[in-house]
Amino acid sequence: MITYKKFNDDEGNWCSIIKKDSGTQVMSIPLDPANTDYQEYLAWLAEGNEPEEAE
Amino acid sequence: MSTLKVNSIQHSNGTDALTIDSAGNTSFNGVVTGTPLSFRNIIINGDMRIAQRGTTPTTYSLSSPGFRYDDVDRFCVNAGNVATGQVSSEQISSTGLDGFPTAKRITVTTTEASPATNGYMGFVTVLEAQMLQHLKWGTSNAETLTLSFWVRSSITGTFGGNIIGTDSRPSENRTYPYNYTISSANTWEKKTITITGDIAGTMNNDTGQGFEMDWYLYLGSDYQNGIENTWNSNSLGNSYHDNTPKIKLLATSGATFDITGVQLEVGDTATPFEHVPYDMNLARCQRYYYSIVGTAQNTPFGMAMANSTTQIQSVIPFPVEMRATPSLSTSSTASDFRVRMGGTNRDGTALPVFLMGTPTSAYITQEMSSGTTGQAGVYRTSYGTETYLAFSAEF
Repeated sequence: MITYKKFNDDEGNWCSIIKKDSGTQVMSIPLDPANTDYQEYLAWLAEGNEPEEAE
Repeated sequence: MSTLKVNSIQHSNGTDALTIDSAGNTSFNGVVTGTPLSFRNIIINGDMRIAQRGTTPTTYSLSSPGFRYDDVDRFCVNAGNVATGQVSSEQISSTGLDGFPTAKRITVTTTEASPATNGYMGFVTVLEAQMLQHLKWGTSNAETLTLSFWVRSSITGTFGGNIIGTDSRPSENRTYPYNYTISSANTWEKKTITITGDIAGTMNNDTGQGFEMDWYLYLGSDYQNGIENTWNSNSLGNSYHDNTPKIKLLATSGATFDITGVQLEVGDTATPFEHVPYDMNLARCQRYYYSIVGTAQNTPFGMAMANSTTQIQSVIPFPVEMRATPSLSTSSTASDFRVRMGGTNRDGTALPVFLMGTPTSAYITQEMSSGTTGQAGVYRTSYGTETYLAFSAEF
């Protein structure tokens, strides 16, 4: 199952998204609207899903 | 057959347009218009030379809709809603076709007799909209294109392909379906298709999709309500192709389909394939995918700095500007990544993560075994196992 987790930089700002498949990291995605993986994340959100918050 | 013996050809005003010396050398006066001599092939990696992700076969289940990139750059398997059928995809490097040492091959590994009405399988290359502005699509002066490619299959018969004007979405999925016939099994054949310019579509001048080109090998009936060799508005998404019966490659165990020498050019004539130097071809592919692969111990990725006792940061510049800020994927073992700092090795304890970036560089971070904050060092592989950082700005 695909899930997403927010990732913060060392100043606590949300800077990217980690994509996971069955809990294992498969990709790290920038917050760029032109990035296809980010577009897929937005579509996943639109389906009512919620990402895991950053640590 | 006749021969014209002249030393020059002139405009009616007496100006030389073309002169020929006694050795047969020809000089043109001014600019020669029409098909350009270079960069006339709109397709990137049409000779299937570049395969940054690898050359070995990858086998796919085909049930989930989507693109599957694992071998030849810019060309991927496109499939969905296929219940049981599976294929492998690979770059082959012994084609038997003069001038084309490489090709993309699809092999049926698990059969399925007939597609579901919404099932499909084939492969696709997607072209960037800003690279296509000279086609003047969406205007009355839209350029005619000619597609040519070499193809070889173990199955003979009628196959289908199309161009999908993806920039017209979501109101339309404008498509231009065409068919071609493979006459002899396991024999290279060159196919040529002329495509009229789309005067009614949309082509934004941006880094998004301009159009995609599909070669179908298995297609359900839901998509076969279009008309061949013309532009279909496809507003209902059911006109990707016409209803001519086509080969169902998945129905035959071990069936193969090879393709190379793909060229798309302005005009109504197929010119010889434009062979691009390897380094230029690679650079053009790296706009969409770039990887640094270490297969030996201590292969460098770049320089790094210890941001804390357990975290390093590194900036990786890209060799060419990428289409968008890319995603980062990596090999799966954190300890295969290492920094050498202050005479000490520090191995990864979690996988690298994208921190910030642009289309020209990535700023990444990784948790490492404990060390001294502030030290600088070399970010590299730790062992001889395949370790990679891969950046993707694919469509």
